[in-house]
Amino acid sequence: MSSEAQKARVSVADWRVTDGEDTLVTSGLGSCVAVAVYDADAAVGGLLHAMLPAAPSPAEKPAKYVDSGLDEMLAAMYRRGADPENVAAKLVGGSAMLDISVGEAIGDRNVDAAERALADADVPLLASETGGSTGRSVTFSPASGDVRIDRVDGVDVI
Amino acid sequence: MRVDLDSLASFSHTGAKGGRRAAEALETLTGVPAHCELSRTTLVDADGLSSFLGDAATRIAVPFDGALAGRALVSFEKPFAARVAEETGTGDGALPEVANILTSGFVDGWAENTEGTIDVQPPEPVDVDDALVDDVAAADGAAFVFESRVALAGVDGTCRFAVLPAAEEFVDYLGDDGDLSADALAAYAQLTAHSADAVADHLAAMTGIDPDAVESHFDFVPVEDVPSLLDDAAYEGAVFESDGPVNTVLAVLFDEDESGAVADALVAREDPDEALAESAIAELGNVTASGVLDGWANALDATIDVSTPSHVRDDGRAVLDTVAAAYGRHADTVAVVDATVALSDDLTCRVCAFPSPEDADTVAEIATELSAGDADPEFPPEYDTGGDGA
Repeated sequence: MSSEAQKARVSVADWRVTDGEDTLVTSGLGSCVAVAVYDADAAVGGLLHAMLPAAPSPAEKPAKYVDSGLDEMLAAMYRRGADPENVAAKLVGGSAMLDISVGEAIGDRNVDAAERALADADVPLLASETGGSTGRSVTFSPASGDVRIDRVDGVDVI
Repeated sequence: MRVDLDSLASFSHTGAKGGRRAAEALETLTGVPAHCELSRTTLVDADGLSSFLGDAATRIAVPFDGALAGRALVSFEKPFAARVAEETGTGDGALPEVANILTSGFVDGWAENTEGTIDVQPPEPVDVDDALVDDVAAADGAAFVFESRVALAGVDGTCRFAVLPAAEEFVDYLGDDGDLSADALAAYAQLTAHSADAVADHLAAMTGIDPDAVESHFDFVPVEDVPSLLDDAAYEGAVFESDGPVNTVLAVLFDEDESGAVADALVAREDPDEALAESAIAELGNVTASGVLDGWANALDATIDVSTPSHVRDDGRAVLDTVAAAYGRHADTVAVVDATVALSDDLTCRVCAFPSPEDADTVAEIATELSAGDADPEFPPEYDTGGDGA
């Protein structure tokens, strides 16, 4: 079995929690948002790739939604040793790539929902790169809190 | 004959669950994080079937029988196979066992929906594609395929997993469900073939390039897997929305190995003006999209309008991520008319049409009409577009 640092992929409508030097990657963010939350001291972090702002009740697949996905992921992080008093978040995505009427402004609504859900959970939002009209991919290192953002027109780290 | 998309969507749920179980089984076996990046339930005609069967050099077949019979074809890309061999410590000899575990994980999902059991048989080699096609074709050469792609963390390449129910047994299985028939399945395959032909004809007329190859299939995909229909390479093209009896989001995308390659190949231009090139590509997309939708409109004897295009040059998954989110509020599973036209070795056009889940009945009507053969796509078509192509 492998013991070296791993780069685990997070699918759309999914989240994953990891610790140590492992990194979490999610690609192809359009109007979806990636919410990265971490406790740098405990080196525990989670990455959520959510499609929609608010879950219906009951939600069959909580990770599809910003609010219920964040709740689930935070609970998993706290079980893994993250300290609720020491976690922080970074937010990426929510672009408006297409001029289509179905799902209008879904990117903006996803960003609003993520900011609101983080505030409700008392998780400070340290940095974000949202909106615009380009796709993004995210590589998140929980131990450092670095979030690398790859776009077709460049790379940033927040 | 009517075709019930809801019934087909229920098969898709079973397939998606099977794909997730297969990934979990692989993660348990190897200790490496695994995820199922795509699960789709596909109707494909005989011409396109071979592309789902994997490369014979890397393929392992796992038969199953009982409440449902058929076989899984598991294809391992080299880096994936090497990592599995390394993690299990048993070399290449592990692959048949891994294929068996993946198949067992998948058919467990089927077994939950049936009263009987499904028995997985020992893996066996398969090397003749023609025989496979004959075995699995359900009606008029069309076949039903459950495809999942499983990836391992930090490993290039995937394990591609195609479950092919045996034709005769699967038709018997469908016989218990009054909403589905072999003819209905063939109708959807024909809908996609008509649409792909329209794409190829219009691209050839606009560019003067005769397509090298045309493939098409009709997919049912969980909304969250829609982005994985494309890879994360850069694509350039246009996305449209149609209005009329079927509301559809339609993406016409060219894969672009190098920035500007699409415009260079398709647009006659002496002055490399970027805005002009974008406009020309959007217009090419507009004509192609209209060609597909005119075929559908003719089948209904109706009019379908096309919106002004959104020009895109971006990661293909990000483009479809936005489509997935748009439909995600309304449906768990979406239908996709998926056509690929190879214009040359270096240039491929991919057309993905996503009819609104709320218009499933109308899509069924189009499939029925087109399969009856009385509504061949008109060519050259009369365009009815709301967009200006800019």
